[in-house]
Amino acid sequence: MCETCGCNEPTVAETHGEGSHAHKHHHHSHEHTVQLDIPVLQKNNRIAQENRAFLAERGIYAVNIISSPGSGKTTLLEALASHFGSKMAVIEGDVQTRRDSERIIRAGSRAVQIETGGACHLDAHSVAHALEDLDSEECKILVIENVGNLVCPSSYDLGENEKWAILSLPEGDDKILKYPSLFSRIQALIISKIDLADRLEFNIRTAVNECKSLNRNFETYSLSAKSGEGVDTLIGYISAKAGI
Amino acid sequence: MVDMHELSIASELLQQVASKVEMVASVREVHLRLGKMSGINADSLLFGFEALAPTMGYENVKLHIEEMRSLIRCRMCNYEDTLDDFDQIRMPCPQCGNFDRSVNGGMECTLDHIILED
Repeated sequence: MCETCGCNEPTVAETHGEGSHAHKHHHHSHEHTVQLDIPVLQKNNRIAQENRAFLAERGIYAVNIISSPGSGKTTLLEALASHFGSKMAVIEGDVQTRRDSERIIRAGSRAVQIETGGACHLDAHSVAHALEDLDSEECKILVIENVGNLVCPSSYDLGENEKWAILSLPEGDDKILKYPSLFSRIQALIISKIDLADRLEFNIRTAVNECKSLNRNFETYSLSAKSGEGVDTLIGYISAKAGI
Repeated sequence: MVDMHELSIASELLQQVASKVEMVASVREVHLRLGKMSGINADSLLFGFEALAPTMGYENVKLHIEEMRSLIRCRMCNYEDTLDDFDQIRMPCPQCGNFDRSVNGGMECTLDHIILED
């Protein structure tokens, strides 16, 4: 600690003068420390809590789906939309285009597209605006389809009840430990495109075990949105969570 | 929102610091605690910080990142070790040989403290 000003910075002190005139000279400018201890995403987290309260008030159960591009998120959501219809609404996050929300609307649910215009993830603020457009009394399930990306979306709380990750068979069973920040935070792991199982070497047990080393509380669902296999089990799970 | 999430995190960080001080130009150091499981890359964050700081009125500010490690714990014998890389999870417990181990901690991204010039 600096003897002259009491600050915490180490300082180079030189003694000038002789005898009773000797004094220590200060070579660093005066600085002081302000302890903060604030989560960097505090503002996002605060808005996420507001979203959570908004959804809870309306009895809507919200899921934030995170996966790579092309893992079958939208195809799965089409299957859910044709089952739930107006009881479900979807927020589609994409860097560009409204293609995905158009697919959901054709399948029977309401959908709002957020075009992030380059950003790799959705944040709570953009979701808050989309929620205003989706307000409906019939809606009991909200699915937020995040931007296709296994890294960035995992840091942002959007106000959801659960995070789901979709991992498709063509991506390989070695992806879990490569993206630990996502797989440590999910409540459901969805292994998709299982209709390709006989053509691909994907060991579901390997993937699930690696996920268990990062995460103690998640459910696993294996399904093919294309063939329909396993989709009903997932529908049962989300229906129970949403109380419908 | 900005392209690359480290850039948006750098922007949040600089805005947060700005809200705590009278003059951003007086901020010399920003100290951050960053978990290994945070999903945020320290190098990209530094890059974003250095690119954005001058555009927000900061002068001569340095970002210091303290990496917060995760722990790997054996579920059989509770032996605990720091996690150096994620391949370690596939290795047996050095104490009992069991493969069932779990990773804990290292999720945070926290603004710890700042140093201001008077």
